[in-house]
Amino acid sequence: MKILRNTKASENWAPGSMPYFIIFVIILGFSTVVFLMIINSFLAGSIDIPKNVEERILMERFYNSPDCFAYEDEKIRTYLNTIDWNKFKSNAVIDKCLPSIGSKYSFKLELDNPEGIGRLSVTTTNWAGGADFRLEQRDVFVYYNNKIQNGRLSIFIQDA
Amino acid sequence: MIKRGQLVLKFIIILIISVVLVLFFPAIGEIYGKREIYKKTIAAREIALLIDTLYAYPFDATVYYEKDLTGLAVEFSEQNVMVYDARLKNFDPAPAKYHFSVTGATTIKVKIENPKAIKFEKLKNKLIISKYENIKEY
Repeated sequence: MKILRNTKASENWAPGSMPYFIIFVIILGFSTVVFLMIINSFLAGSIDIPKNVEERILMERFYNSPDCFAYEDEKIRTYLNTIDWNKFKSNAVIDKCLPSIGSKYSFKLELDNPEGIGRLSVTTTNWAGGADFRLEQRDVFVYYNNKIQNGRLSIFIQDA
Repeated sequence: MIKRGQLVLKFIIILIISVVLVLFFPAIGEIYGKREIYKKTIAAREIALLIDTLYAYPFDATVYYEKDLTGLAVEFSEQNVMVYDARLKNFDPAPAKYHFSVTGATTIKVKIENPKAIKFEKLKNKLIISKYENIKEY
């Protein structure tokens, strides 16, 4: 076959020649990187943090942190498990509360109010939509119109 | 025929590869053999979770991470914590890195070497991270 026949150009690729050497160096570097990646993936799997632990820690800030949706009165006193309805009206607060750059998770939050105010929804910027999500629901208090009422918070979680 | 210039270049490449092999692979072997990689990975993940927990807490708080990380460096930059060998610094072939989320436009850029404990102080949404030496003996 013609393809197997040695030509003058193919001598450049003989062991010991410069092109052969350059390719050898590239393959050596590449295989080192792959070797490290394989070892690190085994390691990551063996000491991984359970997903729900990490998610729960991140979720806590939504209703407990004044930098997120937790209600804070004029004396700068934070009310735990109490969501300020006004903070829930735009995505600006959630973007500040949980920056999506580099985050492993994306969130969509829906706040229901049983007293007829309606439902509000906010999402992190990395929220992709679709049906692939985990759902956590929680009874919370909602601060609306100078009153604290009962409400329900639905937290949709996706792997970013 | 191979020119003299090519021979010199080839010698330099062989020298570089040899140096990499002599330094890099034993270093990796030592890291995995001593199980230091586990220590680094666990520390990075615990510290990241600790910071996430602090940001879920509504009030000011101070927490001490009391794990002896002598021989290691802990670097916080942007929203990542990286733990690596203090001797090898940026040349550590197997650093441990984990992501955490801070609120607001807070940026953290701290590097701590050989800590016996690390102090995390949260004031409003600002996080102050420092090396802590005065650990109580129990």
